[in-house]
Amino acid sequence: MRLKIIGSGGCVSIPRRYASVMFALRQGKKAFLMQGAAAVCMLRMPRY
Amino acid sequence: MYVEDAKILIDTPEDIAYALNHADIKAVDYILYSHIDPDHTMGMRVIEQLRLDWLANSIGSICRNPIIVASLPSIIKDLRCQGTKYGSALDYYESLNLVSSQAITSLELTSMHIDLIPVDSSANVTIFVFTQDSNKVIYAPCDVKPFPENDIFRDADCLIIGNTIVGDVLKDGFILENDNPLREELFVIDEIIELKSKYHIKKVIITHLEEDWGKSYDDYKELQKQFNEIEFAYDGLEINY
Repeated sequence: MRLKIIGSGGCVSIPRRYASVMFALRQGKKAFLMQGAAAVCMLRMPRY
Repeated sequence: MYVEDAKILIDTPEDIAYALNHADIKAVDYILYSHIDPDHTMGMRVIEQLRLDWLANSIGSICRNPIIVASLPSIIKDLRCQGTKYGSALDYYESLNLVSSQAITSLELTSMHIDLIPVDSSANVTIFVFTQDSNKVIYAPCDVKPFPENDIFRDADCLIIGNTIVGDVLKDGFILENDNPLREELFVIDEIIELKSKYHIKKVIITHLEEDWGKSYDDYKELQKQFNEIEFAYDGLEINY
């Protein structure tokens, strides 16, 4: 059985993106808490 | 949640198209809905991205591999309420043969068996139980408190569960007092430990993590060291049995 979590965030869209940011952080990016719009903006920046 | 064995997607939040791309998922054959809360359904238009070919449609060619959209009968009925002034989105997708809806309580596939367990008598919320060979995984994404009594949950390999408050000090130092109504609606970690023990579940993965819990990935990673076989989900986490 092979399952994959693809939406670990909570009940509004920003936390879902935030969760994705956390995934990016896991890949070796600098780990710190980004919140709300900042997390969304970070995702849209090319370096991420 | 995506089940690779049978290309099953569970729920379609607003950003599901992004999530599918991010996870490099190539195909979806089934969509199962846990309940109709907007954060689980408002990305239903991903069905168009997955199946709709306007040019082919314009010359009368219809979709030949509709996605099976399945859920508990009451949830399928409620899903038909999602739409616009033009009417039900699900009805529209069925009219184009993009989907075929099924009201079910279980699903038998060649690769696995899935039971859809209603959380209460209203049957408006679902807990999924996946069984393959001797392995059993429970997926209880949202609104599952109080957790129903059912022997089907016993001896599961894994419970993936949402709606759990993580910690007593939350975002911006918010203290969750004992009389806070959120405690009625959401689990706390001690209740998850009780549930794990009650049903002899080997491992628990907590998902549906809210930004309001005020924790970073590193915080969750550190926190889970305190618990026995209780972990926190992240996008891209694979669960294999």
